[in-house]
Amino acid sequence: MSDKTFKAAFVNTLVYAIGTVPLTLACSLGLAMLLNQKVKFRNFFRTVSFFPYVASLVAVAAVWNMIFSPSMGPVNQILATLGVENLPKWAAGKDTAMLTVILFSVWKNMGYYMVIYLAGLQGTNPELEEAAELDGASKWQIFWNVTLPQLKPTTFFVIIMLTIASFKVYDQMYMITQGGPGNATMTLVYYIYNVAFVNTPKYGYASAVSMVLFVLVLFVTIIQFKGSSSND
Amino acid sequence: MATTAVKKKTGSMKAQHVVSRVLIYALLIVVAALMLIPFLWMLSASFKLNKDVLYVPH
Repeated sequence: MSDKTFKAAFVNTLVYAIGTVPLTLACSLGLAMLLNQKVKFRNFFRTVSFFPYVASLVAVAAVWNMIFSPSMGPVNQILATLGVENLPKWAAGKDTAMLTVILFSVWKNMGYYMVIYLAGLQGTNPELEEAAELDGASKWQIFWNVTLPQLKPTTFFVIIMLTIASFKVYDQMYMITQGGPGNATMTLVYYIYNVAFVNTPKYGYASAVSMVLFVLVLFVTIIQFKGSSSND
Repeated sequence: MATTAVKKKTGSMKAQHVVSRVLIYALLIVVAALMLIPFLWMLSASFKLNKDVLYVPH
């Protein structure tokens, strides 16, 4: 318990989960609501949104690394021409590294959850929405009080999947930040890998950390199951 | 009187409809651009020499 890296990894995993889960949820639901209406080029927009999920994570992470490169990357070049001083260092900065990884994950995964939400939206009853509209409810009210409750099973599934996936995050850290700078993006799974396979292997300790991760995921999932079933 | 009121209402509703359509398409185009830019960048980088990949013309 006196292991500082472990503590950092534990906290970072929670921060990452708290950052990605609501953001991905909101983005994918918003996108699904947009693309569930009648718009032109709907299939094109749906395909484009799903694109990042299809591509290999390693490949797109490499591209992101270059685009967000602090010195040469196009993003910072554009910011510099716009007159921004103090250019963000993205993956190389202690404060922005986690944000960069979170943004990348949201970008990568929102298409997949958008498809799940689209499937959920197909299953909602349009008559209820029409009835609410005739009763004079605003679009916002219809969304919160009619559509969203019908999507509850979908939302539950998405939240569970997102939470478990964000506790298991490893590839993003390995590709973009290598757990650095310092321990700013060290997460539990990346720490497990480091302890078990890098330098002097400590399989026992790594297994112990894995058990902590297992208990953490189990605990959070049980809480979520309890929370959702008590609402019914 | 009543007909003008109705007309006014449908007119404003039409304007509202147009505005919401424009917003929807603007949002969709921004999202599509965000999704596609890394891939287009990768495509353009694949035709460049290594030294030119991160070079921005001034």
